[in-house]
This record gives sequence, structure tokens and C-alpha cells, in this order.
Amino acid sequence: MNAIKLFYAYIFTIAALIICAELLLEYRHYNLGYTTPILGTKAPQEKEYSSPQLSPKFGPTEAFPFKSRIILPKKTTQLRLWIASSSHAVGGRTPAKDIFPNLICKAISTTGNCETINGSGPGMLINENIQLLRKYAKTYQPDYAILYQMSLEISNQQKLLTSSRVPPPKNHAIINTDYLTKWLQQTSLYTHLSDYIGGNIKLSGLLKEELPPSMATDFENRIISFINTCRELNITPILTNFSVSHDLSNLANMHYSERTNFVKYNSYLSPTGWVKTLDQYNSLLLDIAKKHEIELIDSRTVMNGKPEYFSDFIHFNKRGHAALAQIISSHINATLETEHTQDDI
Amino acid sequence: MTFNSINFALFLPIFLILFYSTYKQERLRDIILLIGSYIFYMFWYWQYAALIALSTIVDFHIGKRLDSEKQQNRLALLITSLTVNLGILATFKYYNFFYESSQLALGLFGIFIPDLYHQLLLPVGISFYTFQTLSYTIDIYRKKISHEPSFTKFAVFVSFFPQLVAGPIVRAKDFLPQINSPITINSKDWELGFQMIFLGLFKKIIIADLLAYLAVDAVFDNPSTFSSFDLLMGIYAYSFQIYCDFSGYSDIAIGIALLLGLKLPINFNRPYLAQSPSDFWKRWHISLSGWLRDYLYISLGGNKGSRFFTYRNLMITMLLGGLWHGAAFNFLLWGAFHGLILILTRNAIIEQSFNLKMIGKIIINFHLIAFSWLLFRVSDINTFNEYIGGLSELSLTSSLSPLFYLVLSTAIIAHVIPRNFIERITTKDFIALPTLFKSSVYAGLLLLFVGASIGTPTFIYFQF
Repeated sequence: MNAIKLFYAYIFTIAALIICAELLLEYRHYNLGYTTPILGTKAPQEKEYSSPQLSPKFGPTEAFPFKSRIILPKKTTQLRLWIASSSHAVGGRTPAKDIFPNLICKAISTTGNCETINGSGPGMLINENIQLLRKYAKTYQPDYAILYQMSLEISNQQKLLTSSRVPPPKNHAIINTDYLTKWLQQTSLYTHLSDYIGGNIKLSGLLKEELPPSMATDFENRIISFINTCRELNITPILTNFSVSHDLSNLANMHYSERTNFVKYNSYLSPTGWVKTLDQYNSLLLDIAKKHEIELIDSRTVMNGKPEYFSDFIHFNKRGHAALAQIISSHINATLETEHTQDDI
Repeated sequence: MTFNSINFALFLPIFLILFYSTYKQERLRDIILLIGSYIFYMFWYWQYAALIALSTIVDFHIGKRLDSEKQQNRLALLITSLTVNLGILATFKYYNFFYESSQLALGLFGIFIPDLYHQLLLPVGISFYTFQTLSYTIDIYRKKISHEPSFTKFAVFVSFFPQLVAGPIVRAKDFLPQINSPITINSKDWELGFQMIFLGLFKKIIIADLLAYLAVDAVFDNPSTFSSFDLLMGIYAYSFQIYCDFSGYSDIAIGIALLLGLKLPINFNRPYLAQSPSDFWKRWHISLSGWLRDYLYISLGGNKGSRFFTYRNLMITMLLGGLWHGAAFNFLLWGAFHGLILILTRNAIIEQSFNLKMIGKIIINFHLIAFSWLLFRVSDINTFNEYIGGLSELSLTSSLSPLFYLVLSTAIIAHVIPRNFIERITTKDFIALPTLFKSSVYAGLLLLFVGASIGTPTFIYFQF
């Protein structure tokens, strides 16, 4: 075979093998309901909302950018709860009716007069929760703002710590191909390879057992900023401590695929270091709540270290959403009762 | 773009399709090579392609005139070429260093200079293509070659993309004759080229980047938190990281050139099996050490004088070799250390047959070179002191992972495997296998590279 024929033989065979592998993996992902770059999505979200039980009652829509039951600007004396979180409160593939923000009001004693605004979005940090609150609080006038945030803040702090090692290259290229790179990174093959090979490599790296002390201060400042914003907007802030599927006692039992997935979002801390940091930040939340005289909802006693409530390390499954909704609503009921008692007195 | 990027994985096949459909028409082939090379470079920082174009235009015209002018004018022309090329190099590579140093020095006298130095970004590969064009004009001046009459071919010589940003530094006498005749691509060379690309990627992604991630970066960032044993492993790991990173790039460059029917000189020959520092320099970055020997050491008088004169020339050559890497004190120290060990071991005898003495010499020499890499890698003198202090504590615990030891062992074993054995496997046994099987191996390797690429580390020598 001459060199040119050899070139075409190699290129076509290698490309064919890789494309076949991608299609096989995508087919599996597609059937599991994931969005895939070639086959698309089996059950698009719009369909979920267009089902008779849910649509058009649930957002997000253009006019109502929240994944919660669509409500009008406040006119009456309703109880309105604002949920400030990230992907934990969005639910991914969990239907809107089953995620915790949309279950809370069902168990609140003022049922029928309670509404939730789910001011959460995938990848949202506390600062973005604050921005959203500032933007919409005047229109929707929530009475309570419940903050459930931690893991993403820790991931972001790690990014800041590791980004100094490898500064992102500035793009001065004649053609910008970032979109192509992003598309390729969404392929099932890339996701699998980077999760399994890259994940195992990352786990073998010199991961740390704790974050520098300045990071805890930074986290504390963000929480305080949330509290101050709520007070400024006449909303009562409520903090929630943060639960995960594994704690130090059962971390060794964590499935290997979850460990490799873990390092995808945590480039600095080891799994043990991460759990320790969560413990430290949860204690910090308790201190902040005491110091600023605000309520702290305890989800950890019931849920922390219990994989049965989670679909992965940090995201709830249906049972987890229901459990957290129950914990939050019980707390709100107790708060309301106390307020009524005080009013009566 | 870098060889380990998605952009390059798409660029290379497209470029090869265009090249193979035109390579028999010489003029069209040269234009495709030139355009491809500039596109390759402009994927990094398109504005700086103008610098390559400037060097090309200046040296093409100077080369042309050098062939026809009288001796006196020839010297003036050579000086012009040196001034332009070294002027550009000095401006972009050493300006920051001198600006910063001047700021510090004048600051002592209370004179304040504002921070402007950071505004100059170092053009990738500037040291490589500058040395390449300089060798062209110096060789014409020395009447070793005559000028290249075709501007396109000369421009291809300066900007040839496989070796443009990190070598090997190619001499005009080796490259220009190849593109001045019809290119033939035989299937055996093509297969070897393809293998070399994968070998280079393996060295870069699986060995160099993993050693960096699993040990080197952390150990050199904060040496005081590691045991003596880990610090020693950090030096070994960096020695193999820099070797696999740099030689991996050269392998890919040589491999791509082979796919195009062109031959580039080898740049590395198992350097850590050298028995003395001078033997090391015959095996490490061969194209640079050859350049420094031919255009600097010999120009300074070489060894044609007293012993002191030779030592002085060796030291100047190595100091400038250190500075070639960048304007920083650790590169200067690195160069000085190499100058010193070259002087001290100048009369070392190389063992010809395999024996215990040879092994001893290899081990001692490797440790001398590894120590020089410590000087090369540390960020400042405090880190160096911290590192040496940690090494002297003689603590033997290790926090490095089994994967690290696996990667380091692979690098060491691959370095010492007899060349005949590797050549037999690559040039005979593997080539004889069915194409479908070989494609599956390459596809598997590609997927391994994709999975193992953590972050997007660039090649170490891009910064030089």
C-alpha cells in the first residue's frame, strides 16, 4: 500500500472506530434520558412541562424564570418562600412536581396560602442567589428566603486555588474554535474517558485535606452578605445546613464511579478533605446563625451520610427531595406557630 | 495550537489531505506548506506571525545580497541580520527581565519606573526560529551554503510548522535541498512518522503531564511539606518530565515531517544514559547544542588556544545557552553549573563496552544533570534553599501515589530498553500487522490520551 492510501486507510478506520464507540455510548446515555450531542434528548424538558398535570403551572418561562409553580406578583397576605440554592433545588431529570421547593408548601399549615419561588439554578453561587433576589424580591415579595448552598461554593474556592497554577490561556487565535471544543467535550465518549481515566488520575494526585483558612472567611462573608441583603429587602433569612450522601464514617464505601465523578468538580481537596471541609463550614453556619440571630434548619441529623436520599454525592433523589421538603416545612410550621403565639400574647 | 489539542487533531488531517493532493506540483505544495504553517502559528497569537514574516523578509534579502557583495559589505550585512534578529529576540524575550531589574536597581536610589513591562507577551518559538534564520545568514557569510532564490521556499524553511515553536532547530543546508527537489513519501517512512507522533503524544500526555500532576508541581510549589525521599523523587520526576515533554514534542515534529516526506534531524538520543556532561550535550537538545557549538563556541575560538581560553569559551557558551531559555537567574545558574561540570569533566573517558564502570558513570552523570534540573525548575532562591534543606533531612516516608511510581518506572524502563529491540518492534513487527489492527491500537491510544489529558498543559519549551 502506498503512503497516501495508507493515510486514508488509517484516517477512515480510526474515525469509524471512534464514531462507532461514541454512537454506542450515546445510545445508552440517550436511553437513560441524558442530552447527547448526536442523538439529542429522549425526553425534552418542554414535554415534561406540557404534560396535563404540570403545564402550564410550572416555570421556568420567559416571564417567570423559576422552576416552581407559576405565581403572580403578590397581592394578598400569602406566605411566600424563596429558595436560594443551585442544582440541588432544580432536580435535573426529576420532574418539577417532585423537587423539594415545590413540595414544601404541601406540608405547611397555611396550605392554600403558601407559595414557593425557586430562585435556584444549576451552577448558581451565593452571590448569584443574591443578585436574583435583588432583581425579583420587590415583585414577588417573599417572606422568608431559605439558603441551601455549600458544595458549589467549595468547588469554586478550589477552582480559585488551582487556577493560579495553570492560568487559562488567553485566546488570540485567528479562528475561535472554543465552540467545537465544547461540543466535543459533551460527547459521551469524552465524558466517559475523562470521568474514568482522568478521574482515576486525579484521585492519585496530591489532593489536600483542607482548604486554606482564608476560604472559610470568604464563605462566611458570602453568607453574611446573603443575610444582609435579605434584611435590606425585608425578608427573613433562614440558613440550612448541608447534607451529602457520605460522611467520614462511610466514605470508604462510596462507589468508585462516584469518587471519580467527585474529582471532576473538586480539583484541590481529597474526598476526605472535602467531607471535613463540609463539617467545618456547617459548624460555621451554626455560629453565623447564632451570632446574627437567625434560624438554621437542620437537614444533617436526618439526611447526612445516608446514600438512600441521594442520586449522587450531593444531589437528592425523589426520596431526598421529599425528606428535605418535610424538614423545611416542619421548621416553617414551628416558626409560624411561635410567631402566632407571640402575636396572641 | 499545540500538538496535544483538539484543534491540532482536526488541523493535521485537513492539512494532509490538501498536501497530498498537491505535493507533486512543487509550487502549489510550497504555498500549501507556507499557508498551513502560518495558520498553525496564528492559532496561538495571530498578530505575532508578523514577527516571523519580518525575520523572513529581512534574512531572505540579506542572504541574497550576501552572495553577491564584497567582503566588507558582507560583514555589514551579517551585522544587520544579527541586529534585526537578536534585536527582536531581545525586545520580546529579555525586555521584561531588564525592565524589572532596572526598576529594582533604580528603586534603590529612589527612582520610580512605572509597571509597563508586563505588556509584552513572549512570542511562542521566537528563540527557535531566530536561531534558525541566523544560521542561514551566518552559513552564507561563511560560504558554507548559497542563498535560496525562492522566497516561498525560504519562508517555508523559517516557518515550517512541525518544528516552528519548539524545534528541532533545522539548518538551511539540511532542509532547503529537501524542498528544492520533488518530495517522495514512502510507506515505511510514513508508518514510522505516524508511530513517532503517537510516541511523542504518549511521552507528553502519559509521562510528562502525569509526572507533573502527580508529583512535580506540588513538590516544587511547596517543598517544605514533603519528605527527603519525595523531594528526591520530585527531582527524578522533573528530569523525566522535561525530557519526555521536550523530546515528545521533537518526536511529533519529526513524525509530522515524515508524513510530509521530509526529514528533520533527531534532537534527543537517550540523554540520561550519557556517561559525562559532554556526552550528555551530544544527546540532549542536539540541534541547540550543535548550534551553540558551531556558531558560538567555535566563533569564540573553541579549543584552539590555552586550557584557560577553552574553559572560558565553554563557560560563555553554556551561560548564553542558559540565557537562551529565558532571562532569569535560575537559567543563568543552570548554564553556569553546566559550564562548570563540562570544565571539570572535560577529559572524562567514555566506556565503549557495557560494564560496571559504565553504569557507575551513567548514574553519577544522571545525578549531576538531575541537580541541574533542580536549578532550572525552582521559582526562586528561597525555594531552592527550602528544597536542599528538605533533602538533607533524610526522611524516608512517601506521600506519592502508586500511579506516580508506575509512571516514573515506565519512563525509566523505556529510557534504558536497548534501541535494537525497540527498532525491531516498531520498524518490522508492528508495521507487518494488519491495518485494521494497527488502527484499533492507534484509536485506543487516542482515547487514552483524551481521557488522561487533565487540563490543557502546554509544552514546557514553548516558553523558550
